Amino acid sequence: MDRKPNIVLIGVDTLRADHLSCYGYRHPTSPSIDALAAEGALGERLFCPAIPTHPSFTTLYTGQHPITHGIVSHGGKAQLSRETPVLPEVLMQAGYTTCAVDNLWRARSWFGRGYEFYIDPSVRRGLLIDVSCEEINSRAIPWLRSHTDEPFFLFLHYWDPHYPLHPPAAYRDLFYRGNPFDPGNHSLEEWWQHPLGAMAKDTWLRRPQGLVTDADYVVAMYDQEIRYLDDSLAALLGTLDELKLAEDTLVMLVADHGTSLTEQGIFFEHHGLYDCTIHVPLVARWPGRVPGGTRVPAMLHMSDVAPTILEAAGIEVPEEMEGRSAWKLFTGESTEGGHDRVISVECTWQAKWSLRNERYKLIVSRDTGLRGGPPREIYDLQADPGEKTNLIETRPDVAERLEDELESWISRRLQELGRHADPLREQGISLRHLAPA
Amino acid sequence: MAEQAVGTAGDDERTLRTLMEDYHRAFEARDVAACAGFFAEEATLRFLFGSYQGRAAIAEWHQDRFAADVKLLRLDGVAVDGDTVTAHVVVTSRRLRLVRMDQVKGTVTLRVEHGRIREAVLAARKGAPSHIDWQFR
Repeated sequence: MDRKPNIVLIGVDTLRADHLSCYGYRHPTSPSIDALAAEGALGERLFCPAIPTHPSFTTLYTGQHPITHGIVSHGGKAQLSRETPVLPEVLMQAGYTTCAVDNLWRARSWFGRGYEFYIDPSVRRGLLIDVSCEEINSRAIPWLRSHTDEPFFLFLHYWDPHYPLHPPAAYRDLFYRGNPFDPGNHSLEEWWQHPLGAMAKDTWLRRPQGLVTDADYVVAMYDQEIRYLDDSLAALLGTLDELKLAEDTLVMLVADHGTSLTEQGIFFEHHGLYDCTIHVPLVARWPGRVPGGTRVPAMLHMSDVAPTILEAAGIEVPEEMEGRSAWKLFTGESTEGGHDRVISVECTWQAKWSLRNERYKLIVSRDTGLRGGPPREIYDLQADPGEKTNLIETRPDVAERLEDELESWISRRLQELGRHADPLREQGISLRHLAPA
Repeated sequence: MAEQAVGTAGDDERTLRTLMEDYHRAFEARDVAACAGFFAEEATLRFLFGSYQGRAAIAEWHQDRFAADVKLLRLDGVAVDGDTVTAHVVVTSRRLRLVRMDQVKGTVTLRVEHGRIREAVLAARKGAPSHIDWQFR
């Protein structure tokens, strides 16, 4: 390789893959992301070993499974070891100029490691997660313009699909027909018993026309935010074209997690190890290196993203990174790769493990926490991709086999790491206080 | 509903400060009718990302706030600029404490026309994000 590629890593918070047009969604939410995929590669099945934001981005940065890096909770007390290499540091040490337009460092310092430039426009907001894609671009694009002569790694963290959902006025009629304010619609009332639902009822569900009562309209608001973000990505990508950087830049888009949009009785929140939350988009474009229209069907993990980027840049992957590079799958140099299962974990509102293979998903609870719910769940993902029918009573044979596999894996990994305690039991749920009234 | 018209058509600074003080007293007394009476019939109240249109909706907002036991902990300053009075406040509520936010720094901005509040904006104060982003603790 003659020169290192520039790298633009786009991390979209709360973006589920199946609400993008390029993943088959019925609404045109993502023309720019669709174009990016058409010009490059789309990873059909990227799964998160950890949710939500802090555990997932830590997994991305370290290339490690959460049982290894130890960050299993959002807002929890665990700290990332200073010895664990993170992607921005590795790139910085390899000669990249590194920049993040993000705010996660305010919560956990390791998200700032390796960045020479850390730009945070959200400080102008009263609520950090309310920073808009336009505000992110207002800082990212000028930075791009002033760093065209050096190989750069630019990480952008967009928050728009995360609640509170309040897309700009121009988007508010998209993807919905009906009366969002119908007082006879009671589809949101269960949610309003939850502290976050009560806050939504007080604030972002209140429009001049009245209170939004239709859950379908809130889903439309989520889609509207995606479209708003997508239009901003067009501006970002257009700048790469204008600066004649596109040909020398690897652009990769992922999300830290998706969200339930009332599935499993979870209203617009991202807990629960269901596919709507752990299946996220992965799009990669590097003209001349990644053939346009490439589809990668292999099951990939978030921990594979850092090794993939490093291989693309011709940089040795630190041995501490457990993920497997998918770079040759993107370039077409190989069709072998990926994983046959993903083991995921959450410990924020509830403490659960899951094991997902090609056919089944097992979910085992250590602490049902916020929502209560069954201690064990098993879903036939081929017959029931929406994970609506728990087969725990009717398929005990499958449940037992998968549970043995999961617990054996946990025990073995803990032994290999020199640890004894399941981190979910050791650390406990971090946001237990967000329980329904 | 009690009428709370204050001042004359040329609302001056003292009048606006008096309005803010009188509204604060009604709020502390948990008097929904009195609070709503400070607002014009077609007033708008913007609360964080939401919008309440009209006096009836604004009365409902006050009911919700009182149900949540919103309390003013501190008044950090009041400023008047033309027809607008702004107060920097620190508030707490049972709902905030439920999500481990002991208090929030906010700003209350009232635009007054002919003695009544035409528009109210209640927002978290910029530059103090750590007070409201519970997930960033």
